[in-house]
Amino acid sequence: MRWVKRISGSWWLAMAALVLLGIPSGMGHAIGAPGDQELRVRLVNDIYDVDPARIRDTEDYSISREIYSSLVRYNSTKPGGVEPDLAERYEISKDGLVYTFWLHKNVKWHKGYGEVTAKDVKFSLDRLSDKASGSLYLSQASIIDHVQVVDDYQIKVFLKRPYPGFLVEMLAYRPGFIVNERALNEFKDKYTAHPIGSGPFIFDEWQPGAKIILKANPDYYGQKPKVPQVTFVLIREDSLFQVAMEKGDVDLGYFIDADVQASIVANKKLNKLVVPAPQTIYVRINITKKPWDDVRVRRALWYATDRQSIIKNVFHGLGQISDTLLNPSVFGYDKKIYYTYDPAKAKELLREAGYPNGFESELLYYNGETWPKGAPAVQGIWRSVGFNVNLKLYEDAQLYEQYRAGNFALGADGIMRVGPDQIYSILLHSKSIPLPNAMRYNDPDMDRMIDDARVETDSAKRAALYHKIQEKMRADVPIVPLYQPEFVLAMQPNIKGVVFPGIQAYVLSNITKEKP
Amino acid sequence: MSAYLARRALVLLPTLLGAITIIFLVIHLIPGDPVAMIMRDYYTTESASALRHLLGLDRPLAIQYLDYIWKTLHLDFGLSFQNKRAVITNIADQLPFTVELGAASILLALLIAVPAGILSAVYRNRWPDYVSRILASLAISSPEFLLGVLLLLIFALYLGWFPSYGAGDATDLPSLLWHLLLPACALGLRETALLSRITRSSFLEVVSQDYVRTARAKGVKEGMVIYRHALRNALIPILTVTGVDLAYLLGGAVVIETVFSRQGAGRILLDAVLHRDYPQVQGTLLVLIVIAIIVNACVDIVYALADPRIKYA
Repeated sequence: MRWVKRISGSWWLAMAALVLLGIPSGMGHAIGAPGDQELRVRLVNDIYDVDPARIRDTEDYSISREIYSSLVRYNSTKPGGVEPDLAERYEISKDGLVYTFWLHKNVKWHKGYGEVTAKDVKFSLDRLSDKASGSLYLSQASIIDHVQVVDDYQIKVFLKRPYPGFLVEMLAYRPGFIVNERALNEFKDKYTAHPIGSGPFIFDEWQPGAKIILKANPDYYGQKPKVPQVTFVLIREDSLFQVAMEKGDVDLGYFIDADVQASIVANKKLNKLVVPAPQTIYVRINITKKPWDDVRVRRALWYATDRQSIIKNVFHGLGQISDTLLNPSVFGYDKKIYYTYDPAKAKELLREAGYPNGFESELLYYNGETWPKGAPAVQGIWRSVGFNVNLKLYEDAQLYEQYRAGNFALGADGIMRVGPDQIYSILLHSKSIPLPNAMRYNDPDMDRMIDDARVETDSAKRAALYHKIQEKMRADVPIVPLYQPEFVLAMQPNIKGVVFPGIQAYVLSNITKEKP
Repeated sequence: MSAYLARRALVLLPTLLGAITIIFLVIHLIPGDPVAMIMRDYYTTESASALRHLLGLDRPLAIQYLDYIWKTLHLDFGLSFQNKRAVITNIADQLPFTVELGAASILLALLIAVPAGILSAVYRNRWPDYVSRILASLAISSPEFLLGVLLLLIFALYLGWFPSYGAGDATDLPSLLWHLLLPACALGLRETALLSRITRSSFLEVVSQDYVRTARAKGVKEGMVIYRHALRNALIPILTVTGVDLAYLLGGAVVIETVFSRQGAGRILLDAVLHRDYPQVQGTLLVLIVIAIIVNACVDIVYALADPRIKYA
């Protein structure tokens, strides 16, 4: 059978040549670990938009934070949750209606777009309430009455009503970044691939589905970046990111999945920050659907949820129980636990409501955050009390559709925001029915308290109002908060200066990369 | 041949019209609101209806369909609802990575499967055949993602020979190759198994034909009999499967693209479906269908080259 060997041999030779062609060429290249001039950072999802009027996702925000300036910058460790940025100082009038900002001078736009002046700030804030900009912040921006340019470096923002959350929730958050009018007009639909900012990094390149490259801005007015290039690499799965981190192909990034987090925490070769996520994972209840329209049933569900056990056994202890939607870094947070796990009380409440033997229901959940593990865990715990809940896994689009139409009993979700008004306005105010208030929770007292708290300038009174809102939510139970997870921000040992800004983002200009 | 190709091109038009109609209806009729997927937590009834109007989604479905057909005829696929880039730009950016992956996996599969299949046939019911068949059965029944993860752990993490994510730098050929090898192996394994089985059975059928016996009786050398007469005829089913699979792999490589964190057409298609990004779903599927039709036409042409008995008039 020599001919067989001959033919097979030629095939095998061809294959070996292909492999060998690749091996030396690959080995000769710096593929794998990045050099010390490049910082590789994980991106969990691709960006949606970096036009500040349309920033929607965590990734949009974390990239925007590096390329834009804002008047003030969010930092949960600072008093009031903000620190000056483009504005070197600011004043708020006693009535809380006029905000005056004095800007840094000689701040340059990236790529030769000139100097940042008060006109740019006015343009950026005005367009938030312009429907033509596709703004996601029309409702929030409606609080602005008008913006007045005093001179090139001074600007006044007049509000229709006082809004003490204006700095944290708006100017220091997603819609608050300052954009360049000329760049927006020039690039139009293509703007997200060519954003122009004045922040510490310059947006260099976006390869959708793969990576985003930022270059250090040598003209930055604040702390200049120490690494010349940052490459955000898109790695969607935590377990795959773990491989990339352990191999040393990526320098820095957040881990979200609790199992992988636990494994990373145990990995002594990587440094990490374990920090409370500004996020609450919760179960929403359709309070128009029987038997969930009975508040006793809803309270029974809260008592029946052994959250401590879930955190310990399912999420490896990486989280905290909480009876509120607010996080410790959010104004008005009430840390007290009111609903301790009490299955006997849950059964008693069910009996009172006329369900001594429990009942069948459903929990809609999605393949995100902690729910693939959380949903089966709560199902098991609830069953022991009498809530026989069927799990229904939906993709996001279908889940939103079910929520919008009210075709659900219990729904899994999570929220991540920096201010109390952002959370309560969108989740518990009746004007947010059917989305995001899919619970159909419609209570005039709650609406009034949310509206009052939004405009209350007296800090103590405002805190008291938010405490009352939390108290009312505990009484009416449209939502059962499950827990507040933790982030694991992992980094290679040669990465120094990593700080957690209180939100899922980075402070990249602070980071140095030593030679390994 | 040219008349045949012209006829194929004519048949292409109703095929495409049918395909884009089905795509349009399916993506619009499955539950899920693209506006809710765009606005997420920022959804308000007022701004949602404004956006719905802006995107033209508040028009009757028939009008949307006619508009879509009209624009498609002008090769205008619109803008993606999600990243707002031109749909065709998104496809042009991503498709080369998928073509590269699909072609490499098919190439690897052919390089391994054809000799393995021949060996298996020649040593029929002897140990090389048994080994080949057992391996093929194992490979066919192994999920792609499992092999992908195993390759990633062994060759990227533990041995450190290959990068752990990405498709490499598009301007750097060695980088592309280096990022390609593991995913191509993972994706090509099932193809390898399938093609080796087909090669074996096709080869066994051909070598038992009269003309092969005649060739041998005429004293033609065994190697020449196999290489010139048998293998060439045995290639037809192999080409058929290869063509169909190449077209399939362009859209179906999404699992491997995910495991190796690669960009690609499969990934944008999946994301577009999940986000109800109608223009991106429609545009991507249309391009993939056109490619599938072209690949199939090419396979038909190659038939004629491989087997002189096949003639297209």
